[in-house]
Amino acid sequence: MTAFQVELDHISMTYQSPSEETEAISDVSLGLTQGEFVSIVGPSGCGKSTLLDIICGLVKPTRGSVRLQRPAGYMLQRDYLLEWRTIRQNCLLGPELQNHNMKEARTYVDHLLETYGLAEFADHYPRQLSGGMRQRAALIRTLALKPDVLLLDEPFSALDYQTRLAVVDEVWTILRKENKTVILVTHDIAEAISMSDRVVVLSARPARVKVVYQVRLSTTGLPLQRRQDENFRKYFDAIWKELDIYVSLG
Amino acid sequence: MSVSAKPSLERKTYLQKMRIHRVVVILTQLMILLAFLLIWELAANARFIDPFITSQPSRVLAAIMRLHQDGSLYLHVWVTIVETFWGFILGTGGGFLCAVLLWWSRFLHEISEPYLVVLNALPKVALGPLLIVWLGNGSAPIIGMALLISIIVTIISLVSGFQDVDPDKIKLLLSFGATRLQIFTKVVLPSSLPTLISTLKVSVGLSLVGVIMGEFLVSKAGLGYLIVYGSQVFKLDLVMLSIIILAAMAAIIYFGVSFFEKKLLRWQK
Repeated sequence: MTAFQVELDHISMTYQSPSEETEAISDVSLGLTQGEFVSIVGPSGCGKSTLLDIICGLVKPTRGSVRLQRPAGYMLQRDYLLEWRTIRQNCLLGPELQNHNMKEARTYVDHLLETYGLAEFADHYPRQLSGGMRQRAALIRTLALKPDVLLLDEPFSALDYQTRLAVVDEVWTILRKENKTVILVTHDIAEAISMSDRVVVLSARPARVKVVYQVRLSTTGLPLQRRQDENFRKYFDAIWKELDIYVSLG
Repeated sequence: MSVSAKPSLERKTYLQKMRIHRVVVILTQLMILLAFLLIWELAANARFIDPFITSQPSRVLAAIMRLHQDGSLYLHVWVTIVETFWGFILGTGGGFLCAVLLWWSRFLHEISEPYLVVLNALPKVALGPLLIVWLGNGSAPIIGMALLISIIVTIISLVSGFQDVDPDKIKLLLSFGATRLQIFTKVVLPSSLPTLISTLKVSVGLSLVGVIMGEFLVSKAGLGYLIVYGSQVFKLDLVMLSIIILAAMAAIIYFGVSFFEKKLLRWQK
């Protein structure tokens, strides 16, 4: 029996509203081993983000259970750095809320800022940083609590294309280096393939696991280089077909 | 954050221009005031207007000197300041506490909504006679009036400011396991600081309005009393004097709050 670090056990989610009942997620099970990078793709509005909220423990599923070491680090679509705090103070938010030893936390955060090239911006305010740097700061804020598991909810979607490619490489490198278990939700198929060990394709609402791809690329290296791999296109086409995106055009 | 250490010629010319512009604006503002006072004075002297009902700057000045000498000027100003201060503190403090409570409990907010809307629309001055009956004829009904007139607006704008905070920021804090109190102190309150300050600006002005209204209804001292007394005995110098001092007070309060605002919102610029 494999020891999963994250385990989703038959998760279902149904929303109630005065006018109707909406089934968002239907019977999703998934297991991740330590250090694994899994992407979840699916048609927009299929309940990907809801699934992440459930994994994080922010939303209680209607049925099923989640098992993981909490708190999991959560990275959202935008960096949500608090404008009135310096970069260092922002990165210390997690330890502060958890009433950790602030001296230790500060040493660790300073170490992370140093390692990932933000040391000289530690006392700057978020508005003084570029989009890519802000997203890196948001990642350090997530890492400050030393979570085993990171949940990324389209964390690159607010960035422009060039920055996005660069930040994907950066974030990926950091996450590999820290040996984190990662679940990435994205609508960008190429991003999912280039970053992950596995890609989970969800169906349209209610979300079910449609198919899971084990990504085997011969190219080792950064996501940007992995995009050049000869098998990359093959995965891309297969996932594209699974998503049935062309149907909505017809 | 300058581009180069040494300012270029273009930069110097630009800065020079900005300075000149600023000086011209202030000078023009002052000239308008002076011209207004001068025309008022001369028109009254030439009997274009009747100084008995319009007063005139020199008479106002004389009245100020007279009240300065017998000390009653300071009594009236002081009474109004103290009443405004308490009205403001109670109205804003009470309004703030109520707003926090309504943010905390969605249920309470839902219940109080129609009451707040009606109380907000109700002309508070209508409650004046009741206040006098209930609170007597000292400073209490005047402070009560200032409180009533500022508290409802404070509650309504603060609650909507608190609820305006980006829900994803709250989600971020929840993912860190934050408690509701932490969410309030770490995100909601700092995010609503601009709202808080604009609310302070409004409520300090409203407190002054409430105090003057209260003093119109019942008082033995204060600028509102002076205005009513002056108009009843046809000493328009007293009325004008009080209005001018009120204008000065309003200006001081405004600049005070602006100063406070700059201090608090440093991170914005």
